[in-house]
Amino acid sequence: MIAHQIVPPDEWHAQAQGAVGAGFTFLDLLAGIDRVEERELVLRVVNPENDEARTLITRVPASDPRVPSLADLWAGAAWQEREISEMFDVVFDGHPDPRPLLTRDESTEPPLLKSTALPERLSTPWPGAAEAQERKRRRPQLPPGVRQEWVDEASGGSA
Amino acid sequence: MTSLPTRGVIALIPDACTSCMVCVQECPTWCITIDSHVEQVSEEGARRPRSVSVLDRFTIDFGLCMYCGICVDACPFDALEWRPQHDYPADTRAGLVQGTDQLAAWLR
Repeated sequence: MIAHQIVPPDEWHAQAQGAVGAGFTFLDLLAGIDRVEERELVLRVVNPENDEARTLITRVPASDPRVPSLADLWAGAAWQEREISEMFDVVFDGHPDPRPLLTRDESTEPPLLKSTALPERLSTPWPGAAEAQERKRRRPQLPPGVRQEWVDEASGGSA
Repeated sequence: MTSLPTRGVIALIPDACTSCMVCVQECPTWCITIDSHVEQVSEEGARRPRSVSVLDRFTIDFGLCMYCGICVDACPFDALEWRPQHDYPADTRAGLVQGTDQLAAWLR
């Protein structure tokens, strides 16, 4: 179990700054997680003097995913925030350079959101569809990442 | 989970695998395939033959695998295991697909 501290978004910057003040000066990880109703941000910082680590977590509502940028504390956080921003559609207030880092096409849906369609999965045979013990399931099971409405849409479009 | 310093590779204990397909269905990258068939096994004293699933082929495509270990955690029969081996390059894309023999050889 990893010890972590959950902080409200409006304390995100202050808590991170506090960690720097307490010697946790090395930015180890800043990552996003899609919790559907919320977007979660995970920050892991390390004290290089004694290798102790501290993990901070904050959650912002998916309807208004907004959190202050930490780029003034660690310059390297700017890249990680740019990636989280394009992958999870999170806005970092006060970010010095909020351009997308990896994606080029602005019309792309945030790739790591669970709600983002994975169209290639509709045309790729799912290995999990093979019936165990040659039994027919009553309801065909959909692969992870594919939603029923996409299947309906795809079959409706081709019919 | 393993305490090894590397993720290594995922190995298969073929005798423990019941072809239940849980790992195949849980795999986020769709890198596992299972082919199996059902055999009727008659046992002394049993009234009816028993249906037994026989594993024909188990493959992991390490070109797709992201080493998340969900299959290892999900397997109800502990048939998948982390092993420390890491040196399994290939000069073709298909060479990254490892079958039952290699997956089991990693156990040794």
